Amino acid sequence: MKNSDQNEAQWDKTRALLKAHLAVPPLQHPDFINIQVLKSIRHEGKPRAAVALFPLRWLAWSGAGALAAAVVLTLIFLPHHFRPRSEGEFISQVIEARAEMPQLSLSSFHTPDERGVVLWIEGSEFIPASEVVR
Amino acid sequence: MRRAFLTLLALAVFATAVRADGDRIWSALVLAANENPERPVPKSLADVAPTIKKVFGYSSLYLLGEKKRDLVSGGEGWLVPSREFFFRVQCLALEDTFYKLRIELYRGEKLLLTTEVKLAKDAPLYIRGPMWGEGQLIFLFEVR
Repeated sequence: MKNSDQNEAQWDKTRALLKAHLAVPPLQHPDFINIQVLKSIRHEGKPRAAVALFPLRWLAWSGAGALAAAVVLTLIFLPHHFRPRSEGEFISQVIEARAEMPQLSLSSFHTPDERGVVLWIEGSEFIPASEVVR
Repeated sequence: MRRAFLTLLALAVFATAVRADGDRIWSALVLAANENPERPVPKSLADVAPTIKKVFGYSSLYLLGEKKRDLVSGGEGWLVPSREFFFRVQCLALEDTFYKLRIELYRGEKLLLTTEVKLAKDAPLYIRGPMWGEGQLIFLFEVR
């Protein structure tokens, strides 16, 4: 009991000494410090999505760049692919035909599907089945 | 970046080479005859058989010979689908969708005809040849 009273008295003494000698130093620029603290709190509170967006944007640009390069190379190396095609380019045609033997005559016409063409020779010699043609 | 450009360049050159080598001139000598029952159509004549039947009026087809070869613009070559008949073919122009050809048809040493044709892909040229035995000889040209 006596010990505890002594302890209590020593604590009171210590507390009084601390109060007398350890005063809180006044802040020189409290507003500035307040602003800095608020800024750092706001900065820490921001989501990290902005950092993740950068590679996605980079990917999109590189994709668009590759596409543009492909179009340019195709135009350089395969320009005919961009030329409009006329229907006549897909149809065969006899431009000129000449029989080289007087007994032969020639005529030409399109097949029923209009794409193929027939060159009809008249007057050629009959070949007997006994002759080999293959 | 440099590697990507070189890869794209190589692809473009490869695509051009494939296009030039893609198609070939196919020629064939066919005997068309009327037979009962009809003979099955040879596989390589499956696409042209309906037109031959409609235009020439024969039901059975025999493939007597065929030949396929590449032709470049300005090039010249012989197409010999059979020993008796053959063609001298000169490629006058090679466009994206057709060949412009000068064709000479020979029977042995005799020149029968000279023709200049524009031959589009999958649009054959049919030449009605002489009669042989009971049938009709037909020469075919196609870009395949």
